[in-house]
Amino acid sequence: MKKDTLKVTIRGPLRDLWRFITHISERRRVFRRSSAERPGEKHSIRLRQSLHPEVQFLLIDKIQAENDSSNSYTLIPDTSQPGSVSIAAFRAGQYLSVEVQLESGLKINRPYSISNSPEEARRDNAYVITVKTDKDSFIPEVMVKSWEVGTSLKVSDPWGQFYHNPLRDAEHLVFIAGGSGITPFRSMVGDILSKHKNISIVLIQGAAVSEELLFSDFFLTLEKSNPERFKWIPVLSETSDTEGRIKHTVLSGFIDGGILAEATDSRKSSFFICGPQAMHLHIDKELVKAELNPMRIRREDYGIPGKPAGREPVQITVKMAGSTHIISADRDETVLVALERGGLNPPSRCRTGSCGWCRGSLLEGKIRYDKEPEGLRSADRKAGYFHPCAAKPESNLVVDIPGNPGFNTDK
Amino acid sequence: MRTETEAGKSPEVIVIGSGLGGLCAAYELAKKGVRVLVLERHNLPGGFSTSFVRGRFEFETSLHELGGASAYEYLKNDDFHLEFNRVPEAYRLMLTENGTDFRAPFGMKEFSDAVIKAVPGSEGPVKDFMKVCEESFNAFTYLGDNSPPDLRVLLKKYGNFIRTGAAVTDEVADAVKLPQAARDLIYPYWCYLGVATDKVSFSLWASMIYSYLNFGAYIPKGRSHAFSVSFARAITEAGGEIRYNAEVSKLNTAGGRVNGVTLNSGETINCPHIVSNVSPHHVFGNLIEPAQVPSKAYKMVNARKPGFSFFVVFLGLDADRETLGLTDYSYFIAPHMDTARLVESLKNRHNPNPMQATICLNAADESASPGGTTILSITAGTDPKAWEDIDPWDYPRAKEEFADLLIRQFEKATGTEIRSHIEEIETASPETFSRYTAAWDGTVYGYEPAPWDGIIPRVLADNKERFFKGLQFCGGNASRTYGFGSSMLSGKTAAEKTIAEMNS
Repeated sequence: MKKDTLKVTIRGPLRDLWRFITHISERRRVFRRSSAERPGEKHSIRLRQSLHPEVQFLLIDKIQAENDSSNSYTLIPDTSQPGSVSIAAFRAGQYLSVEVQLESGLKINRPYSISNSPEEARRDNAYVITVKTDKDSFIPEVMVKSWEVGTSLKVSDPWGQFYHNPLRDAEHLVFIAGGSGITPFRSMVGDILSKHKNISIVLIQGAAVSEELLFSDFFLTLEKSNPERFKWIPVLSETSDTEGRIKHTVLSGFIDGGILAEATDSRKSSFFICGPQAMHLHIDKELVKAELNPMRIRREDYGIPGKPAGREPVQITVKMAGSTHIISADRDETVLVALERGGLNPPSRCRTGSCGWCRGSLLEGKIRYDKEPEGLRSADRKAGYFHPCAAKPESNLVVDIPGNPGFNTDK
Repeated sequence: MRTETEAGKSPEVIVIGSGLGGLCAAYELAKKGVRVLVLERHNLPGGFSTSFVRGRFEFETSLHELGGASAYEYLKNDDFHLEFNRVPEAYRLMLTENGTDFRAPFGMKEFSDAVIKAVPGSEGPVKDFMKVCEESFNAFTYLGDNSPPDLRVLLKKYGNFIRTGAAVTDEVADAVKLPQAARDLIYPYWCYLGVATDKVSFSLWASMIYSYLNFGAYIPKGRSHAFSVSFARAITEAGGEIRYNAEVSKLNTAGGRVNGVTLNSGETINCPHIVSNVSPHHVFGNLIEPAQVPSKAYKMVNARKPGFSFFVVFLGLDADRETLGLTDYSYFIAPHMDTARLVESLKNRHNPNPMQATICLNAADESASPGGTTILSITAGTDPKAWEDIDPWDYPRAKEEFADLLIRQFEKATGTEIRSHIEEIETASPETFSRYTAAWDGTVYGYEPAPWDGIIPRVLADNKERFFKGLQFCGGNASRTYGFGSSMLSGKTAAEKTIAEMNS
């Protein structure tokens, strides 16, 4: 190696030295020659703002009763709000987080799957969400009572990973819905059938009684026009469809291994399951029983169960956006629900532990998860961050929770 | 319910943005007892330095490998409790047009020997070229330790650095008569700076490859999110405060100095010192009242070119890497190594043969995903302009098409089959980076380091280009340029300068 003798020159030693000295003043020359106009973002900002607005201001344009306990709400842009012209684009299967105002003035966010397809939504410049009145959950009741045509709502951008991806999923899809878990599939089936000619779908729709088979007319029609590629299997758990309300074969009982085995193609299948947590557990057992080993299972969980059981309450000290609040909480409700009941309007999206939107920091005390939240990052777990939507308090807590962007102001 | 507001505790320094630069600045300030408030628009710290979870996989968002001793040594800090895995090899290079398949080891000597062996007759030029790279690195170390530097020492000991300091990389390769076949093998790290070798400041480029090859590279357990969480915890433990979901909409100034910020929520916080992790483009273009911004600041911003962006395919695979035949950690796959043509091709989203930098995380960290699975992430450069005409409703399909192309390219070059093993897939485009970090136009790299905008001109001009008293910049657009280590350590510099200003 020519260790000490290496002498590299580019244009000659003196010219290189001169160039080194002047390349610093070259900077000033470049600056002098450039524009004095105020710079503006051009390329990614338009797409970002149209796909992911911080908040969407929407109006209820139409309310349609699907049955005694479910309403579909058509939501259009509230054009009285600046910049509110078009709805944000979404993938079939995604949801919106909707701010619901309670009579007490409390504001709470709840996720609702979009039930119309992207094609329909784009054509109508409107989302449709379908809400079931559940006696166990006081929120939809408030919505049914106070929402009317013309009501203005604050809604998130479309969210969620419960959607089809042709690079990942098999060519045969098995969709399993329990109760109001049918809503994302209403959006997905038509979208997938029209975009991917090689894909076939079996939709197993579970409900208690025939009146609760949401969108039955839609699925019937779709099956007629796609007999080779789409099969609808309604399953009723409480009664059979004796009066023949549904013009279709209706199975009775619970969705079992036999039904699942028949829906599964000899080719590899991808499963999509949406419904309450109890249904997911039930389907998992049936899959094992039927010795089915689907290539992929994707899930959308509808909420973490938890009801006050009257155990000794705990106290949560909440640091939030520069203020400190002290609230009382039940050990059997999630920290998120406790924060909401405390009037703090904390951020939330999925409410099942996966999206991380509610992420906070546990400074003191103990929490428990009924099921480890899927979206929690390993470094977060190690350093004491947690997902309040999936965590229940085990003791008095001190937590640090971020403010709720877009929803915490009256702009 | 009781509510108390922490009154009378206005911050001494506000840090806008919690990218690694902002976090490091806040940590250095808090450690010295300064009341610091970090304002972050996202609900997580870290900017690009984070992770996300899909199913049973936790994906790294941006870090391929942490190269260079200074960042690594800094992060080994006792406050942080970080664990690292060493990256096994520098890279495997596959050039599809001429069939090159080259495994580059770490170590300057090992690397040079491998290149010389692959390109017979290249020994002299390769050794010369690597020697100049080493000198550039050493000169930067000297400059960092001696301010102001002794010109005589510079000329005597670092003559090659002075003579090549204003040159671009190709000029130095020409000067040592480096054959094209050797350039093909040595150039792949160009994509870590994202500027073609006929445009990039040689001294910066040289220093970068030297620090990788000489020192090696590491990845943290828990992804780069572990860096961000460690900083965030250390900041709050030292008495600092971080507020998430707190977007700054205005940076308030009066009489040529900063005096606070206004948040999106409408809240105004007064503060005489601000460290901005947010780019000068955003600060002067969007945050400061236009009437207050001198035209020189606009000229400075407009003269500089934001770097390029990326498209990333994150794959969670349902088989272990031995089964899949994924033997290496870092794959560079390209048609050729003509970097100017590769940069040109970034403008085309449909280019069937781009350059990809692909990481198999499990090859450096077997525990990166559950047993029987593998994480593979494919990254290709892309120009944000190539995405601006996309119809938002068609955006998912555009991402699927690009992902499909990159997966196919990877399978073809490596002779592996991964498609049927995709259990989870996620993609990121310039829009994604814009959404999560608000980086200007969705760019990932800071201002391009042309020779006139390399580290030396930036450092020397720093005090003249501030325009407002009390305002310091850090992060990928600041004086040290971009990359994990540079962004982070620029925060340390910004903290030191802020403290000096507070004391003056």
